[in-house]
Amino acid sequence: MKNNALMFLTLMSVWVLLNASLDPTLLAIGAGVSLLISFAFCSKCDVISGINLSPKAIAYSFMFVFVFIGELIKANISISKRVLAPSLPINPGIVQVKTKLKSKVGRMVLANAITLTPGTFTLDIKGEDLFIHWVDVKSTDVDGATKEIVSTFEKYLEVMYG
Amino acid sequence: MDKKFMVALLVAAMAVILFPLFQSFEGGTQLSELGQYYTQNGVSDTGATNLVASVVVTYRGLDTLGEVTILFLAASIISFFLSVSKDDRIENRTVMSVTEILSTASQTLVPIIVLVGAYILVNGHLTPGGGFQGGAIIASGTLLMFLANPNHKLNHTIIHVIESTSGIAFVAIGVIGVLMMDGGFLSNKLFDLGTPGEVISAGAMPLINIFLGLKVGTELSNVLGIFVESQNEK
Amino acid sequence: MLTVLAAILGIAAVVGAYYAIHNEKLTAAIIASGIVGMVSSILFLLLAAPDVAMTEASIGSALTTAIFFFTLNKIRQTNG
Repeated sequence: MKNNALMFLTLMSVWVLLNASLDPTLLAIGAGVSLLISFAFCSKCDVISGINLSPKAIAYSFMFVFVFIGELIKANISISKRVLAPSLPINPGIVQVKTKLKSKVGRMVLANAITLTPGTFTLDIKGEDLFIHWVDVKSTDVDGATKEIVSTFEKYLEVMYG
Repeated sequence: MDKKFMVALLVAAMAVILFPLFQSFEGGTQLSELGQYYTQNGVSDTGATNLVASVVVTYRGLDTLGEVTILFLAASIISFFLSVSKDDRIENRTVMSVTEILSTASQTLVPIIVLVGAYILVNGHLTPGGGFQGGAIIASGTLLMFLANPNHKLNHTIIHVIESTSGIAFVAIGVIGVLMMDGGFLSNKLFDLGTPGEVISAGAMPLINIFLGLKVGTELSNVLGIFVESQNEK
Repeated sequence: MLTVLAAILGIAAVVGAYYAIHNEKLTAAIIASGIVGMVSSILFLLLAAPDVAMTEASIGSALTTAIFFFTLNKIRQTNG
């Protein structure tokens, strides 16, 4: 029930953002549609309840956005250098890393953040292990790879999603 | 003669045929007579600010009915040929395990995709979109649900009820237009036209859009469901 | 600028279509045909037809690709 209510609120805010108006008729239609969807498509969605809404978490979310953009730019430059260099300095391989995150949505955001930065690609999550395809494998052991890839994002995600 | 040579010859011949057309093409400086009518009288005739939707739903509503009929026929034929009887079905087929990323993402994304579909349906007479577009987007939400959980079972009863009800309602609105108004089949003047640009305006158009979208969405979802279930045949 | 973008997308669509026809691996061919759908939906958007673009994006690139995959899997099951 709590999950359904959270999903309803999320859908309602998406609806207001889509319509960009607070017209009462539109809001009524949106409420009806969101109610219907939150019950029909959300039988066991425990994802949204994993989001932490304390002030610290919100502050960390903003910081995470900047950190992520910074990592994105760094990774893009590094990959462009590799592609443009005639000797093609790549050393691809699949490494295993560990994550401390427990909540589902936090793990999803971590996996997607790793995938979106060029050069690393999350293949699968099994338990606390992530399997990552890495263009330039710097360390093959679990701890070294975890420090290189995961820990930058994990610091923030741990606070955001607990 | 060499097959590749023949193909090249064919392509060259096509180029020779098409090039004069390309050379002599001059963009029209003014709309055709019909286009002029639509652009000048579309808003006052139908009350919709989306002229494409006003043509599709009102002026040429009969064609849309034809399209919906074709889609319905296609869906029926697919369910006739591909449906699996209870005796031949493998319950809970073992599939490749779905990664946690996909199953988590689908839980958040499916409701939002369906909501976007509903938004396009409701605003079909104001902004680009309409019944077909909204229905197709709803069906892609169903597709994501199937990708995240291949053993998911669609409730066929509810789907058939929604599909047939909206189909009948669509035709009923058309017939009421013939019986009550002078506008003819699928007349838009069933309700007050209202002020163009508001949600409740454009007469029967929002209703027709919603019924169309529900019908298209459930039909395409049903086709997907049948395809997924047909994988379970022994 | 728009013409250049349209030209790049058009070439991408042609390359995808060629790849879809001539690839030995059927899965790769299906993905290529999905790319053709995606690219043409962006082209529709550039040509000021957003409603057609919406239909093409959801039907042409998502639903058709998925249905091709389901069919391919079914054929492989039947042929053993």
